Amino acid sequence: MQPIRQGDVILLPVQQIEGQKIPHLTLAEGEVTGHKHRITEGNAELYAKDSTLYLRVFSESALLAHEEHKAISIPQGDWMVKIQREYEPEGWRYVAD
Amino acid sequence: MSLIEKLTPEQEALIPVYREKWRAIALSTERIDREKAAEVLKATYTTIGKQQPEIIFCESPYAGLKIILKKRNNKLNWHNIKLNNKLIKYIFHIFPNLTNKNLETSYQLDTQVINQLTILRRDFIIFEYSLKEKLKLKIQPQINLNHLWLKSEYLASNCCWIDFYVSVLNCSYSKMRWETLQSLSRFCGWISPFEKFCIICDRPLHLRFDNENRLHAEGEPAIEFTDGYSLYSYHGVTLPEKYGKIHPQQWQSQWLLTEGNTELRRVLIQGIGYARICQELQAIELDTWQEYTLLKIDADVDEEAIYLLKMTCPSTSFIHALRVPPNMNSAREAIRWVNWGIDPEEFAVQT
Repeated sequence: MQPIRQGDVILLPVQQIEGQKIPHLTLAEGEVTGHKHRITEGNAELYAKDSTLYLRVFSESALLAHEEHKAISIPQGDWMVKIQREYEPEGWRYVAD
Repeated sequence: MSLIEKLTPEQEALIPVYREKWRAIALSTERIDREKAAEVLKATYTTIGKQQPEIIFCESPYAGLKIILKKRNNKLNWHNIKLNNKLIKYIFHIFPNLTNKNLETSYQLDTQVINQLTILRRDFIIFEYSLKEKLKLKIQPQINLNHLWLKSEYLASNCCWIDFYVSVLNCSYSKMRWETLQSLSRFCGWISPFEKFCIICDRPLHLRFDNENRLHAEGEPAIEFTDGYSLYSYHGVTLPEKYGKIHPQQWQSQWLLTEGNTELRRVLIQGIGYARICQELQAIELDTWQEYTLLKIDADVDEEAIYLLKMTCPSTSFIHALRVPPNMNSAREAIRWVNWGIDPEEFAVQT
């Protein structure tokens, strides 16, 4: 499986997910728009470990939706959720919208 | 309630009529009639089996929240906030024949109709973010702002499709509940109902939208209450006051280099215009690859040279800019850095 990107959210295929299950399916949420990258169709669960989210898709695929970006069909499997980064003189930070 | 599979052309033609009717109510900026509002609220409490509450009026959700916090801190009548849920449960149970079992099926069949009858975008939800920011709520347990207010425009939005189902599709309904819901929506502004007291917040003085019905105003608030509490918004994106109160024509290109939020940076680029930004920041285009351009800012604004990656979103065509390390040599190398080392061509899909 290859990585997938929707806006500032990157999904990387991983062998194994980690962390505790969390009770929602929002991968990221914009603070000033309220727009969400979230799973709207299919059977999936989100897990969190050390501020990193992992997505497990149980169904054949799950739909990743967002108000502004085109929806993407995510294949069954385990994924790590990465957020794009940007540079700052002290190092880097996650892109925040 | 029978399942709606297809509307007749006559029914279809009435959709805009109902939308307009309830949109006007939802977005009214007239002062509420306090006497009438108190009367409606007291009657509603009686209907759900509660004693008449103390009615407190306020001019803005901000003022209302301060009253609630004061009551809570003084432990005055601090009872359950869950009256919200009790009220909602009562007023929305309008179609008695609708059992949980057929609710799901009918909902699916009717989604399209209900969508057509939805009159408001979700901009008002964003409103809570700015409230939270303004109050800098650090009090524990934190108040759940999403469930604090029962908003008249939310009620009116629901009234729109319920009215259509009652009046056009002739569904059997509970007259009393429907009248309660309509009265709350028409007469009461925002309400925050507690066991012993109920706060009624008056309507905003001004509401401003763009032609796509997103909250929007330039150089002035998109929502403004009589006590001065306001919200700035640019095509639906909530702006901090420092940008919102200034007209986009006067926005400064330099702000782009200090703004930490990428969506706000995107709005600044849209408002100022890419050409003016390049000119004012003396930006030099170093390299372009696909939808990415690597820029170097020559203006003397930071100790270190500023390199920006300009990106045009494939879904929205909006221009975004991210700062990248100054040792980047090409646009492709820069986007690879932003994406944690993943080359754009490695992605199965990008939207």
